[in-house]
Amino acid sequence: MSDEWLADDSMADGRPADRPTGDDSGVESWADDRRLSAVLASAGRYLVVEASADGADRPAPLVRGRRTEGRRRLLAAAVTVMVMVGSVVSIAPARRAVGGWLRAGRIDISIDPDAHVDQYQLPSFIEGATPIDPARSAEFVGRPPPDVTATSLGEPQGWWTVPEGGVLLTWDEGETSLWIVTTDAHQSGMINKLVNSAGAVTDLPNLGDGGFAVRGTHVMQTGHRRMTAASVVAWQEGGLTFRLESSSDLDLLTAIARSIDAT
Amino acid sequence: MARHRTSALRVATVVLGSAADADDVVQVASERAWKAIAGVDPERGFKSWFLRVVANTARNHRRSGWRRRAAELRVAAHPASASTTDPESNTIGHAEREAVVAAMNRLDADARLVIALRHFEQLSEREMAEILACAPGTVKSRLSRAMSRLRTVLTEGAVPGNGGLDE
Repeated sequence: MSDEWLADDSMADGRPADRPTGDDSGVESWADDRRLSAVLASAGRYLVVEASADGADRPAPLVRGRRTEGRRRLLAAAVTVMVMVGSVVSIAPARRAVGGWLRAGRIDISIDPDAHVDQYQLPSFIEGATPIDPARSAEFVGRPPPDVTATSLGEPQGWWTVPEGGVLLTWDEGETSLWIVTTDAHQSGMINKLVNSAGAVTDLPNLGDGGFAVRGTHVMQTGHRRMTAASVVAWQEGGLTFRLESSSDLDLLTAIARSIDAT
Repeated sequence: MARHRTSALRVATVVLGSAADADDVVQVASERAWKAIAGVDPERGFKSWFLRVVANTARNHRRSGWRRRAAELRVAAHPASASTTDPESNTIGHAEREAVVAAMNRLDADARLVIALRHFEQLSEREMAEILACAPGTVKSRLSRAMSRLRTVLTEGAVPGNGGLDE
């Protein structure tokens, strides 16, 4: 994951440099408050915070650290029982953006009250999609995708594939879309969403595995691109990950999502 | 877990006195935080709230059993990145970093934590107070005492207080 908004606010402070004066103990400098503070701040950036199997010292990482598959499974289990409705994170001090992160299913969600998610001039999900013959859709999903014509969406108007894989079905000239991709290909951290508050994210425990909704405009980033997205309902079922996006009412989107038979 | 993961790892490491279990502690703290996310006070920052969960989880882990020994914090010889944000830090050598961290190892966990929150994480007294669950004035006095003890160790090699073993 290479999210600009996820870049940690800590970083290494450059090359280790020789001390200007004194011996290695630095005794003469410890009485200087400013100097001691600077050394402490520097030490914090070099502090080894991750034990490694190879014995190599690792200071504070700039990005997400390692995580075992077992922990990922534990994490996913915890998320499915989590209720995120109604929580709001706001108030950002001027010198530092206050935010947080959540995870829903295998999609990371970042919270940043300062992010102007509705003002970014970013492309939509469908931009960059490539049209395909519906008869080839199974090639991109690994199996024939579920038939959605029985839902209120009706027959898809467009069939596409996207850089992230899978197929993208569209209606209303792309205003409503359903992305279907195999869950195996949908690795943890593949998708990151940026929202202004945790209150924009709603857990949908009765929608597949790890179902959730994001209300309103937000930013979505994958390993391939960064986009602006409208309201989204996403879930996993039958070995597939579904992402239904539309500017329509979120309750309607959720009802449509529930009516899709993934089997 | 991006934005605050590094800070969380540092806080856990400082409280534990070692990086050995920091990753696991942060993982447990993250799961607890998720379950309690609705309890975040919108008037306060998420980071302070999350680091408080991390610090408490680390304390509980440290107190839970076998890990009652002298701290063994270490600094790496090389940074994680070549990026430079503070010109002054380029004049600071590895020996100095090692010296202050070695001195911190001889302090108790609470003293290490208050120093780390201020100087590693660059938090304000108000933010520290939220994490430490005390008044800002208390933070000030605790930080003053901790820094005084750190200087004593650095300049005299003495070990004030409990000798640095985790309580």
